[in-house]
Amino acid sequence: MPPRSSGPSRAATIGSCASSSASSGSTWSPRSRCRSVSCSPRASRGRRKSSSASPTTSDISRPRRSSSRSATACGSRSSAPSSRCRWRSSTRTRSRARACPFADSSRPSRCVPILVPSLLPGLALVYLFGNQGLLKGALLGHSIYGPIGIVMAEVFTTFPHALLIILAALALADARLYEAAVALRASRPKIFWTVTLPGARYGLISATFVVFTTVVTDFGAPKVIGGQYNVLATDVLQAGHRPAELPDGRCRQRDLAGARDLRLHGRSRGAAPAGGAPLRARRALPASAAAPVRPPDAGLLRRDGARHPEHRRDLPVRGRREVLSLQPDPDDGALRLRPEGRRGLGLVLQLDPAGVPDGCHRNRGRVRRRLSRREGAGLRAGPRHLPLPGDAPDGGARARPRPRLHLLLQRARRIRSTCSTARWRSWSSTRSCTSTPWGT
Amino acid sequence: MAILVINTIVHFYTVGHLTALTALRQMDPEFETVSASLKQPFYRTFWRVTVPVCLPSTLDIAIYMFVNAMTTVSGVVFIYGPKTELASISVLNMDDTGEIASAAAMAMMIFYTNVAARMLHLLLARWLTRRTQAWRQR
Repeated sequence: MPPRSSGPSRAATIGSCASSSASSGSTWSPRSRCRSVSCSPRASRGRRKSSSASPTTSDISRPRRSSSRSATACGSRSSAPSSRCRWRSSTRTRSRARACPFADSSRPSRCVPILVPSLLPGLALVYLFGNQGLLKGALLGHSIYGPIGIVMAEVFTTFPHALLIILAALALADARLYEAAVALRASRPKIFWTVTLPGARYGLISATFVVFTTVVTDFGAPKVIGGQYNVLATDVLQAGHRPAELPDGRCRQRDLAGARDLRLHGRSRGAAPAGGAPLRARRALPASAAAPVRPPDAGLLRRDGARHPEHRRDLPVRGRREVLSLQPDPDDGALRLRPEGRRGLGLVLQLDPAGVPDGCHRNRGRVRRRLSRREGAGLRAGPRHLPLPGDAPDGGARARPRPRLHLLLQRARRIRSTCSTARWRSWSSTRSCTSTPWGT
Repeated sequence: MAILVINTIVHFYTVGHLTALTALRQMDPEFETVSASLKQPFYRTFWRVTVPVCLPSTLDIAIYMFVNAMTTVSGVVFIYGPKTELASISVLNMDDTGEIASAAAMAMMIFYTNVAARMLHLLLARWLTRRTQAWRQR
């Protein structure tokens, strides 16, 4: 209908000129209302339609449209079954259909985050704002691993839930109240505060509770992008990973990710006992309980050329349902996390007494976690070449070498051919050096 | 496996329950009395009246349970086993081991699965609405 579609647009231009010339558009200009009402009956519609056209054209005639009004319009447009809002939706979509024919087709895309796991926004944010991300500079030096990332991911995740609830609440808004408010010449903020907000308060409250519950119980985003920032859900998971005790005193880890619970305390008693001892998670190293290191373990830890063939093929492995025991090596004080009943998978905690990695050090790219000096100083150094502090890149600025704990992870079977140290290194550089892939 | 299923159902039971309750409340209670006066057994009433009337809600509950079971991590991360590792859990594990690309790919596969299920749900809902919900049209 060309005459009808051109009518409101003409009224829009005239009304905008009138309102801009009359005032800054903050108050309702009677001229534009008169024009819009006068041009609406030409639309060859019923009385209901002509009355409906007045808020529509007044919306267009306003140069500045307040967000509350557009939100209300959105809500009424999405409510097809509501008979009260159907006429408004039809007029609005028709008036905008010429501008953007796919205006309504973008609406389902707003609800896409319902369909994705909450881990995905975290992963996407890692790709965008991570240490090697595309838009890393947009954070102005802040790290995405932490509250910033959690908040961004949770906003993305919970947006459709809040949107659906608030849209449903706004769809029930009575259009007569808006017309009455307009007729009483209430300003836009006043309409928002007195009509829109009280009408949608139940929706707002329920949306608040839904979003709060979703965020508090959500586990994926803080796990992926939380970094060292622990929230309630991740703490619950760590509590679930707290190992139980085996009958022989060794700790039972649920899987290798539970290695985050290992804290090497009580190292001041002296060197690790020869023969090794099982170390319980988060407990002190017992000085007396000696456990023999099995020959395959010793071969695995050998540093000469005759080392275990799988020692080179390191791979970040996360096993499942492993029973681990931690045994220090008598030679060099390396600690090995040994899975029980599954020989192929092992985790070696290796203590590097010199904090200066030389260039040919084969574990250079695998430094996962550093102990503080007080914790790591107790373990003995192995009979191996210790790089001097002068070999450090800083020229020995730190005179005392810092002990350092290496985590090596091995897998005997199902070695991928694509795995290499370079891959590990490129991966490990994306993470901060102080955090292991299993947390700290 | 069974504990995973039970856990997921219990986890997302509330919304489904409320939806089903709303759908049942919108039914006219006179159906029961009318069917009783017509000497029809209750299962026949259930199958001929209640189920067709509540079919859209049933489909909505089904798709809700499916999508949330696909995307949830919270409840099942404690109880999965080596042979019953869910896709979302594997996303978590891949991210833990540093394979972020694989994790993102797996998460997108979850998304595609959900989209496919949603499309299937829409088609099924359209067909069933035409079959059973014709009385809603004026």
